[in-house]
Amino acid sequence: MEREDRDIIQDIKKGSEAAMNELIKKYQKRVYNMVYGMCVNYDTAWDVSQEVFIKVVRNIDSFRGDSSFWTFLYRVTMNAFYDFKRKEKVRSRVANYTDTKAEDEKRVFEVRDMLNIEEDFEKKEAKERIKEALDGLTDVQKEVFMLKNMEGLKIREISAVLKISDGTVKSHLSRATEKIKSITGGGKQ
Amino acid sequence: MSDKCGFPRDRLMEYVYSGTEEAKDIAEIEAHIKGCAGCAEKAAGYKSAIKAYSEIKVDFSEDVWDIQRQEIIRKIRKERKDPFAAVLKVFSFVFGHKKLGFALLLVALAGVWAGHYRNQAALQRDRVMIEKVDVLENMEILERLDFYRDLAELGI
Ligand SMILES: [Zn+2]
Repeated sequence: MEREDRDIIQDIKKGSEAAMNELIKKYQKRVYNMVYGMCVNYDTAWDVSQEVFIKVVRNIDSFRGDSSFWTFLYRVTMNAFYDFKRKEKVRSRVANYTDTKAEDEKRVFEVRDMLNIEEDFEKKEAKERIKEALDGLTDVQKEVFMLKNMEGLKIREISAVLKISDGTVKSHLSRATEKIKSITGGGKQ
Repeated sequence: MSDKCGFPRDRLMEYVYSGTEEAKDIAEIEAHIKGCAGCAEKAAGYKSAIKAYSEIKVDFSEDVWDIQRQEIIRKIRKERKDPFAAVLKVFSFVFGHKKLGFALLLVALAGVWAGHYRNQAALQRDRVMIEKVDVLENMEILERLDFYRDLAELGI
């Protein structure tokens, strides 16, 4: 039976590696997909989701249990994602990108290659269009759309997580859905 | 289309998301869609876009997730053994290269220890820079998220 988050976290606070493994196992797919749902990039999702759990363990003492662990995890995830994007932006301004990446952060493989992901042309095209549509959204629109359609949250749950009103969530969701539809050609495939 | 027939987009969205929300007056929206080809097409388009998005969800085989967990645990172990690594990582990022970052970190530390090698202005500059990087790295997670939001709003 799955243990409660707070019990697992208590053990992590005491330094238990088994508890870390348990927590990661419980949430890694969701975290990976939340990041993937923001950027549609296998490698970014892999790297960021790793960083998320490292940060969670590093900052576990700052989680006092007054909000749900998932809310805490969500904020760490988005934080790590924006952090990653920001670093990428800085690096892209430096001429030799690969030389400037810290050795620790270098990934010797591409997730796609490792997984031998084979996608047919249509699926690949659809993903490219979704990625393009997401790139045209603001961060908060993307978050709302992802939380609704990847995580399956209700509007009032999204408004609680993002600390914005239901009306604002609806308006972001509406704009994001319209944009995704217009670029993916929804209904005309 | 809804913009032509005047039916509000928000109502169409309520219909589209009615599977996961407690939407009111759905029958009224359905009745409109039945009689309006434009809105019917639009609603179908939204649904199809949402479906395409939710289908991008990734699931690997369990051994791949195992690999990821092992990598994470290895990195956490390394960091715990060597808390200095976290500081070094900040420097590596700022200076772009681990070895260079390490060298510069040593120089900075040496500079602090042997303050007379540097003039006060240079020391002050280093101090401010280290402080800023430190603040960014150690900022409470929730504050940092707000910080990034603020930057995004400014278009930075
Ligand atoms: Zn209509």
